[in-house]
Amino acid sequence: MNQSAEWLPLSSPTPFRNSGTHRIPNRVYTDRELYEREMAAFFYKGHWCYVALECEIPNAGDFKATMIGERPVIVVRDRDGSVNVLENRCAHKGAKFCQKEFGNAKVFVCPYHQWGYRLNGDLAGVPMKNGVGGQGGMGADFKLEEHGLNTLQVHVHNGIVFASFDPNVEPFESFVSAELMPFFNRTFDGRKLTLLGYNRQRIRGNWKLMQENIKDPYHPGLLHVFFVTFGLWRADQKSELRIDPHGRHAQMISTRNSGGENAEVTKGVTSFKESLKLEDPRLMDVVQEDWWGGPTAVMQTIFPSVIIQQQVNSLSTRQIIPRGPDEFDFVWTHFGFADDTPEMTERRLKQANLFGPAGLVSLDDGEVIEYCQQATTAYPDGECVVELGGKDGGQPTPHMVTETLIRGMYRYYRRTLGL
Amino acid sequence: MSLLDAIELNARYGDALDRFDLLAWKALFTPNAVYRAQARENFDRGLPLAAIYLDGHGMMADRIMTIEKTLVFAPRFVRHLIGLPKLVGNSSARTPFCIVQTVTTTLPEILATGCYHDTLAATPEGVRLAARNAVYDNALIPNSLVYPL
Repeated sequence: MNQSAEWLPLSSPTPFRNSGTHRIPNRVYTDRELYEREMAAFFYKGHWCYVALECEIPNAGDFKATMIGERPVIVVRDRDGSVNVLENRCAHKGAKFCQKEFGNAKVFVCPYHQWGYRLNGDLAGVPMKNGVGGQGGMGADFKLEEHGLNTLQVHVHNGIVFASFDPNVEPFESFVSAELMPFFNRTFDGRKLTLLGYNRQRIRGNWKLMQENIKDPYHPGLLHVFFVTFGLWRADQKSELRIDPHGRHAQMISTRNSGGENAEVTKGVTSFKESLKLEDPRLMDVVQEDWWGGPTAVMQTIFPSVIIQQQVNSLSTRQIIPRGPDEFDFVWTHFGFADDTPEMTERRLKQANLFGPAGLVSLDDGEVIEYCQQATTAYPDGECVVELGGKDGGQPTPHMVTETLIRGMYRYYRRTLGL
Repeated sequence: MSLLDAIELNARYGDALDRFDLLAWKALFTPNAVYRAQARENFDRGLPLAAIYLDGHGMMADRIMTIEKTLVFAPRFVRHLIGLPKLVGNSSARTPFCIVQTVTTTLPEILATGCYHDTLAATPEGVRLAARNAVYDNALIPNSLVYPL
């Protein structure tokens, strides 16, 4: 993994004021220099980043343009069925040559000077390479094979596609970790996926705040009035937190209860509203699926780039695309399974009302992330207190009343960035 | 169904939402109407996902309840600038919209711009929406979509 030794000294000392990670300095959300290090160390090196679901590019030549960190890439299905991930950057003048987000191509041609690339990134041809009428042209030492598109490492795992700029990235399964692979494979077990569609939002907050949000089982039963009132996620649910040994990835696993009042989790909670009822219960028409094997919600953070959601019958990947220290795009790709009945597809689409920029629970998250960014930016010398459940540096836990997963992420963060 | 009917309906629609009179908004739909707010990329590619998908008055009432009682969001104003409808056949219309949002204490921003794809119905109370899909061109929403488009 990335060791601190390779970094130039920071122009200011570590913003952390003690050796633990139970206090998070506001500067990690606002500092441009730290942000550049995060991009280099997390998004461009040593990590597998989410790029696509296979069902987005089912046929040879199908492509999807997306981002890893701030870098544009193309995910394309090659003729032999394999998936390639290429830099969306012409080897000639550096143009982001593919401007369509989805499509089908036999070759990629940069419009500027029509350099043409095969689906594996090889440079197939260059206009006027041999000159015109004996004049001009490329030199004798110009070799097409030296000017292909940069290609990334690719791992296709039962329908979900990850890529890495790092040729030495560790194998995917060890990256995710033995601790987390079982629940990762619970969703991606080889069944064919179907694409339901996208939601995209721009959130004016630091990208790590979204990772933290899905490593934080403290907030859902408090912030999300909808969750607590209708029993989807509460502190009194049977639950478990898993975390990889580095502290970077995590899973929040829980089983819903019947809702209603429970003195310990609702009495002091001003957001609980016993009197609320749904006029149309189809919004929450939850049907148990065999593959769940019990838990009704598994929320996974695969650091740094993606969140994988199963919340009752709603499934999505949520890709994090940073845009500087104070803004990121959040791309939701909702999916189902090829053997879903029409009724199950309809159920997934109705439950999608809970998620995305208009989500009856997720809307709250985007809002509070912006609230955090607004004040941490204004008070850069402040720090956040992350001490629920102790001051440990991230450990598996048989309950949800803890912020241990956030502490785990910052343990990994400090170690990897040498802070 | 006259052009004037459609214009009148849209005037009431924008007015209701901009005044946060969500019950008046709901009343502009027939009881079994479907309302969607859907990104154009999904609409154009035939993908069924919508950011908001309400099937009938009951689900509309539930969305109103969450806006008024459960959702957490910074206070804001919205302003629906709805263009002229293009009637299509007897009972359909396409109508362009631009919706400006002003989150209190910040500058106005365009929340969404796109086209309403409507199915209209003549009822004893007047022309109502039997289906409205607010298809927005901007795939990216500036953070939150609180009120229906």
